[in-house]
Amino acid sequence: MTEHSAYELLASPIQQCLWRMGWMELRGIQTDAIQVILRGDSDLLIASSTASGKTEAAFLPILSDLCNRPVDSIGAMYVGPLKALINDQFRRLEELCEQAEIPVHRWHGDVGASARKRLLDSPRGVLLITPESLESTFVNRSAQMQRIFGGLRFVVIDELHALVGQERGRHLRSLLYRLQRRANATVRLIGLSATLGDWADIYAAWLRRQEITRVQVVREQSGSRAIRFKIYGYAEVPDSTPRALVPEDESDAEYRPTDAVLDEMLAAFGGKKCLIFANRRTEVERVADLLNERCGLLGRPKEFLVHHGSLSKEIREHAETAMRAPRPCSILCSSTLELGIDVGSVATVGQLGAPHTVSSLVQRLGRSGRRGDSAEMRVFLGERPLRPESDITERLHLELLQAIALTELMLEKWIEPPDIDAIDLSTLVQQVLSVVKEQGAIKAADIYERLVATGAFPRVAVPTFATLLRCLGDHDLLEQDPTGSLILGLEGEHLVSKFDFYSAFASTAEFRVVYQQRTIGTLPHAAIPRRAECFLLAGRRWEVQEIVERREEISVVPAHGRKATRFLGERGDLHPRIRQTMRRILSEPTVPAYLNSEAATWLQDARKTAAQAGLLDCDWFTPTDIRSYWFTWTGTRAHETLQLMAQSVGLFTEDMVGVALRFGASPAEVVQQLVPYLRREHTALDLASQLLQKRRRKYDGYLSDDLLCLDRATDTIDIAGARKLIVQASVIV
Amino acid sequence: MPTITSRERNAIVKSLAAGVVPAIGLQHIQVGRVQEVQALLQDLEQAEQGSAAVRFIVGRYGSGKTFFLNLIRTVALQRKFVVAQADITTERRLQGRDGQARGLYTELVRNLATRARPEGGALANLVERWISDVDGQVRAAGGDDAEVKRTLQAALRPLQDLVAGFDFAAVLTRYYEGFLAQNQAMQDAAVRWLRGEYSTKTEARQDLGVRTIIDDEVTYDYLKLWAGFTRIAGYAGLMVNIDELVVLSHRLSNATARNNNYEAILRIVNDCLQGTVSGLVFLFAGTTDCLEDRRRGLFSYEALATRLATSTFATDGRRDLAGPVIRLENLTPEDCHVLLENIRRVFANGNDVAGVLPDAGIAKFLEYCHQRLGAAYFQTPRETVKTFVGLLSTLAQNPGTDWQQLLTPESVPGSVETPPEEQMSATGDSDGLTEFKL
Repeated sequence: MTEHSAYELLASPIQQCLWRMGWMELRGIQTDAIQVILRGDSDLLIASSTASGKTEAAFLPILSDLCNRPVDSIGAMYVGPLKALINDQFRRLEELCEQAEIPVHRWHGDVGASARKRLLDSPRGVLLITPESLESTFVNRSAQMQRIFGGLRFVVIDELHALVGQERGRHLRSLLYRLQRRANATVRLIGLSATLGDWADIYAAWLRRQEITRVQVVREQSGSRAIRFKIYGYAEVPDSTPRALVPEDESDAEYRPTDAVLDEMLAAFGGKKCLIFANRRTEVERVADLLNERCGLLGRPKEFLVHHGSLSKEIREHAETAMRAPRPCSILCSSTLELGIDVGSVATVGQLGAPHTVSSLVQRLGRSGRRGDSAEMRVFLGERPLRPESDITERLHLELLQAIALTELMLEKWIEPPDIDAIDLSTLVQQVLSVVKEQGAIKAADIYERLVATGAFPRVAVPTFATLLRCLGDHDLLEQDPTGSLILGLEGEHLVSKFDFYSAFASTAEFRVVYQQRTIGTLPHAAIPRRAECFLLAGRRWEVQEIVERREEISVVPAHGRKATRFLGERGDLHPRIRQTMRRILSEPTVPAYLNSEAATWLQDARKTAAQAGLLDCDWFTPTDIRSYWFTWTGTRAHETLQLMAQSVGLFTEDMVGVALRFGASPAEVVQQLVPYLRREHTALDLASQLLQKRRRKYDGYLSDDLLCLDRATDTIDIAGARKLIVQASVIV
Repeated sequence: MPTITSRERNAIVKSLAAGVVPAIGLQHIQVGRVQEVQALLQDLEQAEQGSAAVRFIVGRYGSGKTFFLNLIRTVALQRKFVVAQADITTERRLQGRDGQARGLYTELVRNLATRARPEGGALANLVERWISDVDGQVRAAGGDDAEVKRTLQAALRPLQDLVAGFDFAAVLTRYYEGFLAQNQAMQDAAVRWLRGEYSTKTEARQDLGVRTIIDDEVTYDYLKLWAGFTRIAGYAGLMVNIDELVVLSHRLSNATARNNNYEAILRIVNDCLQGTVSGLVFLFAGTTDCLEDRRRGLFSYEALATRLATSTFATDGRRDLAGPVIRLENLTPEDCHVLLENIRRVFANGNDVAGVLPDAGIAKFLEYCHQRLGAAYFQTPRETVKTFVGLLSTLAQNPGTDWQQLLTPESVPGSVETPPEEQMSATGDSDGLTEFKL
C-alpha cells in the first residue's frame, strides 16, 4: 500500500491540517498505523524511537475517525505517565485538533478548576490524563463516568514500557478494564513505546489478555543510527571542601571526583545541551553542585540545572524551559526525564554510574541526537581507590562490568522482558476500595468479577480474594450491610478521601523545603537534615533554619557548606542475563573500544583478579577453609532466594552487592546444607514466610501474613532459579 | 368488597412479582399495621390543624416500609394533602454542594401529587388552579386585573415571613402575569423555576426578573413554603415522603457529607417537633441499621440519637407510637394469611378465588415458607409476597398444573432475593463468593 493511499484515508480536516503545517511526507510507522487503525478494528502496538512521530501515528487516524463519526462523549483518551508529558502532548495535539474542531482536554493534578469544569460540562473529543487522575474520576465522579466515557473508542497509552510490569501498569490496566464497562463499544487500545525488544507478545498480552491476536504491531524500519559511546572510569578522592557546620560522623566521609575529572566532564557536557542521568537523586544534586562550583572557579557560567521528583513543579518547569531555550545548559536528572518529555534537542547524554536495566540505558541514549543525528552517550563511573584490605568483589570492578554488560546487550538489541505475571495484592487492595467507592455498595462476587475474572488480576484465586476482603474488613476498610453488599468502612472512607489514594505506588511522607515562601522541593520524612545542617537541593546549597513539624515544612536559607542530601533510594531487580554477560566479559580477552584508559585498566585488573581466584572455571572462591564466596551470576530474585534458603538452614551468609554470597563455611558444607531444598516439599510459600521484611508495596500493611507470603512467594521468590544454582554447585563441589 | 379496576390489578400483580410496592390500589391488599396507621392519621389531623409532624419508619429490608409509605400517601391524598415523594440517592440528598440537594428537591416537586393527580406532576396544575380560582372569584365580584393581583399578593403575604418567601411570591406573581398576558413561555419559566430547574442566576433574571434561584442551600426552606402555599391554595398541607435513608448511612462514603445530611435531618426534626412550621408532615423510611448504627447511622449524630431514641419502657412488644420512630414489626401469621388471600382475590379478578388456588393452598404455602431455615429472622413480607405471586402466575399460565406438586419442598426457589448479577457470576469460577461474609 502506498503512502498516498494512507494520506487519503485521513479525514479531510486532518489532511488540510497536515498541508497547512507543511508536512512533506508521512513516515513509515504513520502510514502503517493509519492503515491498521482506519481499515480494521484491531489493537495496535507502535514501537519506534523517541521523537519519531509516534503520537501523530496514533492520533492522525484516531482524529480522522472522530471527525467521520463524532460522539457525544470523550471519543479518545491518551494516558501518559507524567504530567509534563501530558502538557507536551497537549501542545502538539491542540494544533492538529483545532482544524478538525475536536476539543482537547487535559486532566492531571496541576490542571485548574475551570479547565476541569469545561470538560465536565461538555465531555467531547480527546482527553489527556494520567493513570492517577483517571482513578480520581472513578472515585469522585462515578455518576458522570457514563456521560464522559460512554462513547469512548480509543485509548492511547504512551511510554508503555515505563508502565507495564510496574504497580502503575497494573493499576492502569485495571482501570482500563473497569472503563471498558462504562463504554458502549469495545475500546481499541493503542500502546506507544520506544523499546519493545523481542517482547511484543508480552506487551500484546498486557493490552488484550484474552486475544493477543487482536493486537497488531507497527515497528520503525530503523535505518540503524550511529551511536557514539564512551565509558569513563575515574578514581574518586576524599572530599576536603568545607561542608556542614555541624561536626560530621567520620564513617560518613564523602568522596568526590578530582578537578581533572570534573574538567573532563565539563569538556564532555559544557557549552551545549545535555541530559545527564544519575541513578539516585543524591548523586544528581552532588554532581550538579560540584560541576557548578568548578564552573564558578573557572569563571564560566554555571550551566548545570537539576530535575528530579523531589523538586517543586516550578523548578522542574524552569529547567525544562531553559533546555528548550537557545542558551547552552544541561540538566542533571533522575529517571524523570527518561520519558519523552520535550526538552528540545539534546547533543549528548551523560550517565553517572551504571544503570540497572538495558531498557533504561536504551531509553536514555535515545534522548540524544533526534532524527537522523548520531546518538551520543558518555558514562562516568567513579570508584573509591582500592585498599590492601579491599574485598574480592571490590577488586572485580563490578559496576564497570555491569556497565559493559548493559552496553553489550544493548548492542545485541536485547532488553529485559516486562514481568506481567505479578500477583500484586497491594494494588488489588487499592482497586477493591476504588470499586466499592465507585459503586457505593457492591457484592463480593461482583467485585471479583470486575477485578479478577474479567479484570487485571487474573492470578488471584477465589479463596485468596475472600481472605483479602476479610483483611480489609478487619481493618475497617470495608463493612457489610444486611443485604450482604460491601460498603466502605469508616477507615476505608478516610483512606479513599486522602489525596494520595489515587496512586498505586507508594509515596513517602515528605517535608516541603521552603525559602522565602517559595517551595523548592521536598525531602523524605526519614531523611530530613537537622537544624543548622547544610544540604543540596535544586542544585543549590541550603542551610536548615527551622523545621516546622506541624506544617511538615523546612525553612531554609542559602548556604556555603556542602553535604550530600539523603533521599530514600529504590533498587530495581537485575535480570539474570545481565549478570551472565558480566561473567562472560570477565572470561573474554577483548577490551571494548569504548572504554577510556582507566576503565580499560580496571577491566584487565578485574580479569586478573578473577583468573587468580579461579572464578573463570568455577563459581566458588575460597580464601580460607572456613570462608567462601559463591558467585551466583544470576538475577536478583534467584540470588536473594538462594540467600534466603541459606539463612533458613542456619548458614551465616552475607550478600556481596548482588553478585556473590559470602559464607562462613566451606563450599562442600554449604552445598550439603542446601541440597534438601531440591526436594519438592519445600515451596516458595515456606521460603516467603522466612522473610523478615514482607511488606514492600503501598497497601501491604492491610494484608494478613498469609497473603503477604503468597504475594512475595509469587512475585519475588525464584525457587526454580535458586534450585538450578544448587544443582550446578553440587556437581562442581 | 370494593371492585378492582384492571389498571390497579395490573399494577399490583406486576409490582409484587418484581418485589416492589405498587403505587396504586394498595387498599385492596393492605392488612394489619392498624396501630401504625392510626398514629399517622393523628399526625395528619394535627397537620390539618396547622401544626407539623415527623416520623421515621424503620424496619428490616423488605419488612414493608415502602409499602407502608405508599399506603399513608394514599390516605393523605384522600384527606386533601399534597404529597411529595422521592428516594434518596447519592446524587439526590438532603444536603450537598454540587446540586445534590437541589436534585432531591427537584425530584420531590416533580412527584408532587394531589388527589386529582395521584401519580405526580401536579405542580403546574396546583398553581394554575389556585390562580384561576382567585381570578374567577375576584372577577365575579367585579374586580379587574389589578384587583386580582392585589388579592393574590394579599393571600401570599403570610409566606413572606418565611425565608425566601418574597422570591416565591414574586415568581407566583410572574406566573399570573404570564397567565393574564397568555404568555405561555413566562408561565413555563415560572414553573421551571419553582421546580428548581434553573442552575444559574443570570438565566433566572433574564427569564423572570428574579435575582435568586432555588439552590442547594435553600431547598428545605422551599419545602416549608410549599407547605404554606398548599394551605393557602385550599389543601390540608404538604406531606413529604423520603425513602431509602439507608443511602445516607451506608452508601454515602464520606463522613463529612453524611454528617451534613444528618444535620439537615436534625433541622427538620427540630422544626417539626417544636411546631415552628405548619401544615407539614415529614416521613422518612429506612432500615433499622440506618437508624441505630452508632458508627454511621442517624444515631452516630448525637443530637439525633437523643431525639430519636426509643422510650426505655417500650420493650418486649410494648410499643411507643408517640415518639417519632415507628418500628414496623413483622406481620403476624394471621396477617400474612389475610395478605395472601387479598392477593389471590386481586388475581382472581372477581372470579372464583378457589379456582386460582384453594384455601388449603395458601395454608400449605405459608407452611412451606416457615419451614425454610431462618424463616423467623429472614422471611419478610416482600419475599413471601414475591414468591406467592410467582406461584400464582405459574399456575395461571400452566393450566392443569397441580399446586400441591409445586409446593413440594424442593420446588420453590431457595433464595428469591438473589439479584441477577450474582446468579450470573455463580456460573463462573467465583462460586465461593456468592454467600460471602466478611
